[in-house]
Amino acid sequence: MVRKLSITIVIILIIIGGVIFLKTRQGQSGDTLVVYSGRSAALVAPLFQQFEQDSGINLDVRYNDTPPLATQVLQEGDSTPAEVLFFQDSGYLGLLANAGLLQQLDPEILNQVDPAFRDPGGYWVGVSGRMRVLSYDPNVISEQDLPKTLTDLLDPKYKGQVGVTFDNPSFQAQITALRTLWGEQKTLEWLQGLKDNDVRNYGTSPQVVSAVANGEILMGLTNHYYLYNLKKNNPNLAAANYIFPAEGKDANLMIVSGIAITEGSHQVALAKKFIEYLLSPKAQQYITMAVYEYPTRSGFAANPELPDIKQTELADINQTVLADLNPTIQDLQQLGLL
Amino acid sequence: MKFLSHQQIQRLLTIGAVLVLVIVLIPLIGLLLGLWAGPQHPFMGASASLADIFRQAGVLKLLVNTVSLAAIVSIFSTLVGLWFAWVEQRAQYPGVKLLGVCNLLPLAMPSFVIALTLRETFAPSSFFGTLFHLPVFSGFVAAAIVLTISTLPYSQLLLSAALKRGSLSEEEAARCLGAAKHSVFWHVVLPKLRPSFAFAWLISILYVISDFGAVAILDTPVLTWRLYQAVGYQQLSQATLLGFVIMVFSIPVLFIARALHGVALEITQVGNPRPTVRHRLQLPTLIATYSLHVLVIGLGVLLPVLTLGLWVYRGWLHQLVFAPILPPIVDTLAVSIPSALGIAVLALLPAWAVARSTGRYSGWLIEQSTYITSCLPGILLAFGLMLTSLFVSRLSTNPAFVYQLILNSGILLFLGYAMRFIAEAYAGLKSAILLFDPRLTEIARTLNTPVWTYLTKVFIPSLMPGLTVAFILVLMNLVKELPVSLLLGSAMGLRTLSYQVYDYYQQAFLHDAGLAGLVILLLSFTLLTLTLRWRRHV
Repeated sequence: MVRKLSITIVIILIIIGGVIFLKTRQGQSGDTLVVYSGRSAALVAPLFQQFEQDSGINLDVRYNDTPPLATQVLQEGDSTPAEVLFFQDSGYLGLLANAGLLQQLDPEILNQVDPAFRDPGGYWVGVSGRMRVLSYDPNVISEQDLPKTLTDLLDPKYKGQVGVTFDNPSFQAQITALRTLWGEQKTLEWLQGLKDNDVRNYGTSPQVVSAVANGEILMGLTNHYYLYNLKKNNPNLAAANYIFPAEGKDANLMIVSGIAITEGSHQVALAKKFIEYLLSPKAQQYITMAVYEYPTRSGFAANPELPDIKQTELADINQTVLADLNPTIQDLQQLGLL
Repeated sequence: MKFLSHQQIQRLLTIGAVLVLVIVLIPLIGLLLGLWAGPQHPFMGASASLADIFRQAGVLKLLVNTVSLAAIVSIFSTLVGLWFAWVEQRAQYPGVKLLGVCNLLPLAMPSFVIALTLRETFAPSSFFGTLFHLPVFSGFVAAAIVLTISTLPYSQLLLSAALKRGSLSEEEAARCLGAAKHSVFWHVVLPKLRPSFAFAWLISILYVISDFGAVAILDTPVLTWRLYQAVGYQQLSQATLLGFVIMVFSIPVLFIARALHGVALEITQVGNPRPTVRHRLQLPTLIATYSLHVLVIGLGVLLPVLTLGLWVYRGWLHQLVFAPILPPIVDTLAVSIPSALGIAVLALLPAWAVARSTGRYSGWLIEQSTYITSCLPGILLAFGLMLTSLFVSRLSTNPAFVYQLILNSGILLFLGYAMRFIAEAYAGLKSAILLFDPRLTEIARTLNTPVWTYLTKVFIPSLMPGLTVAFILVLMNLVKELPVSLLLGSAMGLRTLSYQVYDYYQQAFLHDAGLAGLVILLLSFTLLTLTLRWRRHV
């Protein structure tokens, strides 16, 4: 019995050792690119796999949320193994650029992207965009009766009927944008107003959309693409997206997912190929048709199912300010919303 | 090879135990180094004072919530676990063995999976919600239900192992002397169960203190949930402060556990133990027992499985493309099995040292140090380990290479797992060692039995139930573990099944989340079945 156990343990350890060896070798291989991805594997893994097949370049992708990845890069400094950073929002890329940890991209890459979706300093470009929208049930309330501005959400008639996700980075980015657009005082008053109006806090954005469809709440602030992902599993989902009209444009925040090359990258040529691939029509087609996000390539048409942003007035905000997260978190904690 | 003297053994055990504890305390060193380097937000500069942080984080309110939740969950978990262990070992009714195994299945489910599936199942507009006019399944009560179901199997396993090794001869002797059943239980059985009971209670409390997935899904503001947010937001000072509050809170918990533990009773029986005598339950007790089984298995296994299955079915029905499932299966097995073995072996040293300790304080110190690390959330430990490895790498002449070597070797991942789960392995092992009759060692020594023969024929077989329990507990946790795998596993490029569930659910890819969740359950159930068969065999 003990002999069998010992043999089993040795075999397992040999297998594990082999896996580690192969992974380390892969990391040291000349045709391998280490990518730190703040984008979810659920959304981008198929795209990365397609890149590997089309280019023959291996990707060693490390997934995690954007803030800890950005801090990891900052802590790692020159030691970072990351060649490419692909973050959920571009604010942290701006901060890393300020810290001297990114290198400027070639004009050939920068010029492929709409100027509104790239860094003015040339350190990052946007790969896709996500819109903040109001999810609602069209069977219960018509679009004409929906609030016209974010401030209208404080109307007592919506008491306990509005859902948000205070813990979600995208909603926190929205609050951060409001702090720039409205100022600190007005933003604090708005958050207090939400609290006084019994706003419902959910753990995740899909829960907000589900709550709308389930009749728990009348409406909720979320990202536009969750609706389409949920509808894949349930085409009869009773929910729709609403974009605020011009008078409420401060709510129409487009959060851009950006990509950059680290200053210490040893695979700059491969990194550029990777970025160019993500900006190519093939990849942008996948991003908008399969992931339901907005393309950033100049002149590339978005999925016709998505709300037409050309007819929309977007919030006038610089993406870099979205990384100013700390005061937002402190405001939410002070108000007891976190 | 000859037997060592008692003093030599004790010395070796203590050195080994201290070494293990130094290793598992490494992440705390990393956190202290990070804090010493400057309590600054990595991008925003100097942070607020500790007093402001304490106030901003709402620590007192979080502490009250955490204490309340931990108390309620631990009491229910140990009491119901004790009943399940008792009927598993001593009762006879249809399906007792199968139901006993099914009770353990919630071990296989990540607590946040149970939470999110129950939240969907009992939503106001769901079938049950409409039928019973239910409110939203969230908040304190919902979290207490989910965490009780999640911790119940630990209690059952520990107490069942203790009952299995208990002395039936003493019970028979007491009955022969005219003691009533309840008297036998209170005065003979319970004292022997006391250490296991204390460990089961302690593990439940530590689980609640360190869990964040279920409480986040169910909107229950507790310390770990806020700590997870702080690490996510890179509020390092707040994260470290909350981490220390959790540690400080755990100290009275450890004292209470020690008081519950009492003085360990030694086995007084020599020779072959009596076979177990199983009793039939009376009808009211039988109905209550079946009801408890239905509740635990229904809420902890059936409803989550049905919900996950429904997601997969809908995905298949609508011809959705499923993400590859084989790579996360390989990654999960590759890290969890050897790590569980390593942690069980690692825990043997402090368990043995404490169980055989003759010093008044040394054993207690080793034990408390083991538990302290397990009450810290995985995300904080993982972050501390990364800071430590960066610090170590910068002492070398080639920091980048050393850092990569540390990351890719998996040592950080193993240390993170060890810190999180060594207490669970330790609890089961210490109970087993306490129940091991030391006179068997003396007999072997007297008969000049070779050490290897003694170890393989007497010592290890006697410890097998405890080792099995330790291995199962740790393995089940590793299969469903999330925060350490997320930060340190992803740094190696690993993507475990649990991470797959979490990631795909966050993005509303429910069919993929469902498939990964079902695979976790299938994997864990298979491991459980194989391991339980092996346990019976030895």
